[in-house]
Amino acid sequence: MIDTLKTKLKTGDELINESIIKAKNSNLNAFVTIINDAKVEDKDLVLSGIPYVAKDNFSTKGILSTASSNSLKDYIPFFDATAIKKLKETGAVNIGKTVMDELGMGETGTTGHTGAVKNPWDNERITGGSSAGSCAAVAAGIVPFALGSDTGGSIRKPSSYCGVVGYKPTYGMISRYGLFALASSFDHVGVITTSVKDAALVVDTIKGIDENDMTSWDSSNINLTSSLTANIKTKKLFYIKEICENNYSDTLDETTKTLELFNETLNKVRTLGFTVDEISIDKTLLNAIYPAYFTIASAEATSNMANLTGMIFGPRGKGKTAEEMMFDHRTNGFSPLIKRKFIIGSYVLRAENIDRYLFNSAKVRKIITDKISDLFKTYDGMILPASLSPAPKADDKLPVYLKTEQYLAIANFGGFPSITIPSGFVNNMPVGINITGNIKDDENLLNIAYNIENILGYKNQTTKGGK
Amino acid sequence: MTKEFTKETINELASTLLFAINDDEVDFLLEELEFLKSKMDAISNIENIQSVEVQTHPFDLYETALREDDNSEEGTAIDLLLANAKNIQNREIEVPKVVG
Amino acid sequence: MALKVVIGLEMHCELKTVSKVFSKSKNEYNDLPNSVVSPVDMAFPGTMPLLNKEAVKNSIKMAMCLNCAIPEILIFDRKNYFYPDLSKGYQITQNTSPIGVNGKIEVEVGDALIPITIHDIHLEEDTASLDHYFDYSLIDYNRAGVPLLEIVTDPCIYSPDAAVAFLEHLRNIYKYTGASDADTKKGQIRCDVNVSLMEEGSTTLGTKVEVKNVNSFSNVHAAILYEIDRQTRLIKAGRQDEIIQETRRWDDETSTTVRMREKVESVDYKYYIDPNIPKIKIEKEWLDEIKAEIPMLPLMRKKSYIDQYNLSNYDAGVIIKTKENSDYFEECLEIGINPKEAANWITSQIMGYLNKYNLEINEFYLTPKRLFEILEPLNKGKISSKQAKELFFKVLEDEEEPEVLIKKYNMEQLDNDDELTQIINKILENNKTQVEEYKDGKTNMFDYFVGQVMKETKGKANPVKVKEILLNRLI
Repeated sequence: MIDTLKTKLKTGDELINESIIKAKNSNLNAFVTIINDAKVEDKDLVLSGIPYVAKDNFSTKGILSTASSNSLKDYIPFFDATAIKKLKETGAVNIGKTVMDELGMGETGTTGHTGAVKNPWDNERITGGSSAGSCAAVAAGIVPFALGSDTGGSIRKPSSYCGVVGYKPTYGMISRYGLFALASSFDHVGVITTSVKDAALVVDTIKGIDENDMTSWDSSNINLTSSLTANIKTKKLFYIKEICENNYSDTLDETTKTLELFNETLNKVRTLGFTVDEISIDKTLLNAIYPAYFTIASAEATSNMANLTGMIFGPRGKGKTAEEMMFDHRTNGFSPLIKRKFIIGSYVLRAENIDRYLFNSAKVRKIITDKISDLFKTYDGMILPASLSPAPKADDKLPVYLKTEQYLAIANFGGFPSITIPSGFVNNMPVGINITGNIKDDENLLNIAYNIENILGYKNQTTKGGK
Repeated sequence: MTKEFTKETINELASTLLFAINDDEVDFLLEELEFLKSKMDAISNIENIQSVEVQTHPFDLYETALREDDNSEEGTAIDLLLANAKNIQNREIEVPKVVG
Repeated sequence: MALKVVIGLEMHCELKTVSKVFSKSKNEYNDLPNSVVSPVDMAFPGTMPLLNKEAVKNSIKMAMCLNCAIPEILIFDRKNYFYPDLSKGYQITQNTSPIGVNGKIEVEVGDALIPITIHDIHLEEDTASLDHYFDYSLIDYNRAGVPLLEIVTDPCIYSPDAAVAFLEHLRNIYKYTGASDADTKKGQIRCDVNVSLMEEGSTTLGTKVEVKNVNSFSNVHAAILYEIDRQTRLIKAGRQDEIIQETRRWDDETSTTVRMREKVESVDYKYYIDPNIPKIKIEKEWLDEIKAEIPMLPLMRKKSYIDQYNLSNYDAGVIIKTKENSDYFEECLEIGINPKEAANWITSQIMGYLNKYNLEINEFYLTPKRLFEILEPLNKGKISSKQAKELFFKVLEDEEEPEVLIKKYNMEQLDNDDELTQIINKILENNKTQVEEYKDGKTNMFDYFVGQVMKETKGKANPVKVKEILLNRLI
C-alpha cells in the first residue's frame, strides 16, 4: 500500500492532512494524541511523506507519551526512541500516539487510562492488545503503518482481531531504546501494516544495531524488501497439533469456525508446494506457557516500572516525606490491574519463592525455546492460528482457554521473528494466521508470509471507508 | 493447613511496592495467587525440570562489543532533565524530607 | 572469658574511567549539580544500561591482584529497592557471578604477614547524592552511575590495625594499577565494617554489627575500637542479648557508633539477572592483555628492593608506600644513581621535605634527574656532602638547576692536589708551634689543621683530600 500511496500523492501535505482528518473523525478512541501540526519534509526516500502512528509507549520528543497510564499522563519526553528517530530521518510523518493497554500489561485494548479502543470491523468488539490503537488505526485505513510493541503477542494478536499484518522481528533487530520497558527479555519493537511488503519496507528502515541498546545486533546484511520473491517452493512448515485441534473445554462456536478456517488455510498453503506437517508437543508443556510467561513478565515489569515514582516525571504525589510522596503517586497512578501484576511480580521474586516460581518458569522457557529451535533445524517456520477466535465482544465473559491463550509468547521466549497475516473471516470478523521463524531468519520468514499472503487474497485490507 | 497466601503477605508486598491496595483487590489477588500456585505445582512436576538451565535472555549471541571508554558525552541540558519535574530548587529536584 | 574480635570489611571504591559505568556521561566530580547527567542516569522511560569496557577492565585488574577466580561470562543483576537516590528503583550490581571470587592476599601488619581471604569483588553503580535540609531534600544525579568496585572480605580480620593495614594495602593496589585514584579526601572510598566478638577458642561467631559508610581509615580504626569496647561492656555486664544484628553509623562529633536501623531480618532485594545486558564472554586473550598491563605490585617490589639492592626493610617500606615513590626510586636507578644512595636520600631528605611542605613526590621540583646532578658531583668529590645538602635546599628554593647553582654559589670543592698542597704547606708554615705539639703527641691538633685549611678555603676544600695530604705531610 505504501508504494501506491506514494504514487497517488498529489502534494506532500495532502496525504498527511487526510490522515489527520480521518484520525479526528474516527470514533474508535484509538488516539491519546493527534499531532495536528505534523509537517512533511520531502526527502525522496521510500517512506518520505508517509503518515504513521506510534503506540504511546514510544518516547517521542516534545509529544505526550503516557503508555496509557495515569502515572505518566503528563510526561513529555525530550528524546525520541531510536525507531521514531529513524522514521523521522526517512521523512515519514508521525500523526499520532495511540491508545494501548496500560503500560503494555493487557491483551484486550480496554485497560488504557483514556478508555477502551473499538474494533473498526465491529465497534462492539475489542481490538485486542496491547497495541490496540495502532492496530485499529491501520485497520481503519487512517494510516498505512503503525509502530507497536510485542511482549507476549501484543502486536500479533490484535493484528489478527483487526485483520491487519503484524510483524515482530527477531529480538534485538530493532533497537528498544525509547520503548518504555515492560519485560525487557520479552519486549520487541514491531510494525503493523496491511501488507507483508509494507512491513518489510518499514522494518528495513528502522532496524539496525544501536549503541543505546546493548541487546541490538548488526542486521545490515539483512534486506527484507529485496528478498521478497514470488513463487518460492519447497518450504517446510509445521503446526502444533494440541493448539490447533478443537479440543478445548467450553469451546465457542467462533473458535470451531476459526480452527476450521485455519485448516482450510493450511490446505491453501500446501498448494504453493509447501510441506505442512503436524507436530505434537506435550500438553503439560503447552499449558505451562501461560503461567511461565505471566510469572516472568510480572517479575520483570515490577522491576522495570520501579522508576515510576513521580519524582522526576509524571504527576507528583503528595506527602510529608519522600516515601509518602512516592506512595501517593503510585497509588493513584496505577490501575488495580497493574497493582495486582506488580504484587505477583514481587511475590515470585521473593527469596523463598524464586526457585519454584521464577526459576522454574525460566526453565520452562528454556525447554520450549530449545524444542522450537530444534524443530527449526528441519523446518522453515511454525504456522498457527494467530488467535483462537475473532475479536470477542467487549462485554463477553471469556472461557478459560481464551483467557489463558498465550502460545504466541513462544516467539518472545526465544526471540523468534513472528508475523500475523489476515487469513479470512469468522462471523464477519477477521482472523489471521501466525508464522514464526528461526532467529535472524527474518528474510525467509517474510518471504514465506509474502507468498502465502499472495494466495489468500487479503493484502491491503482495511475496513470499509478506509483506503 | 496454613495458607500460603495471606492478606498480610499481600499488604506487605503492596507496602514494599509503595502503593495502597483495597480489600477487593486483595481478595482478587488471593485467588490469582492460588491459581498461579496450582500452575507452578504442575510445572514443578515436569520431568527432569530440576536439571534444566534457567533462561534469562531470549538467546545468547556472545557477539556484543563492550562500549569503549575513550570519550564521554556532555551532560544533558538542565532544562531538559528537569522539564517534567514539579518541584525544583536551582538545578536540583526537591523532594519532601527523606527519612531513614 | 577471653574475647576475640572478628572483623569483615566491605570497601567501595570509585573506579577511574572517562565515562560512567552504564552511561556515557562523564565520570568526574562537578560541584554544579546535575551537570554530568544523561537520561540513563535519571532512568527516563526507555533508557537502558550501556556497559563501560574500562570499568570492567579495571575490575578484572583488581580481581587479578587479589588472586580471585574470574568467571567466564560477565553477568549483572538488579538489586531492587526504593529510595530517592536510586532513580531506576533498582541498582545494577553483581550477585549471581561477581567479577572476582575466592581471592586471597597477604598484608603486612607491623612485622607479620597476615593472610586475608576475599569473599568476592563485584562491579556496580553508585547512587545519586542527597542534600538534606530541614524539611526537604535535594537530589543531585552527578554521582548516579559512577562505577564502584566493592571488595568484600570473609570475616577473617582480627584486629583494627590489620583492618587498616588491609585497607591501605588495597588503596595502594588501586593506585598502582591505575584502577582508581582511591582518594579518601575526595570521598572516593567508603567502607562498611562488620564487627563481632566471640569467645577465644569458640567456633561460633558472635552477633555481627555493621557500621556503614565510614569514610576514612582512621575512622574505621576508631569505629572498630569503639564497637569492641561497647560490645565487651555489654557482654561483661551479662547483657549480650542487647548486641543485636543492626546497622550503625560512625558519628564523628561524638566519636561513637550510632544506631541507624535494626536488621531484624535481612532485606530481600529480589535479585535477578538484568536482561538488558547480554551475556558477555570474558575471552582469555583479553585476560592475558589485562594481566600484562598490571605493574609489579608493592610487596613484590619491596621484596626485590631488599633482595636485589640490599635495602633495609624500613627503607624499602617507605619507597613502596606509594606508587609514585616507587616510580621515583626506579627512575633514579635508571638514570644511574646507586640504589642505596637513592634510598637514603628519598627516605630522609626528600620525604622530610615533602612531608613538611605537604607536597606530592610527582609534583616535586627535585626530579630524579636533578637529584642525579647533585649526587654526581658529590660522588666525584667536586662538592662535599655538607654542600650537597645545602644544594638540595637551594635547588628547591630557587627552582634552578643544580649545575647552575653550583657555579653561581661557587660551590665546587677545591680538589686539586697541587693547590691543596700549597695551602696546607702555608698553614703548616704559619702554625709551626702546633705542628711541634702534634709531633709530641697532641693528635687532636690534626683537626685544628684541617679546620684551618677549611677556613682558608672558605669551606671549599675537599676534606677527604685535605686529610690525606696532611697525613702525608705530617709524617
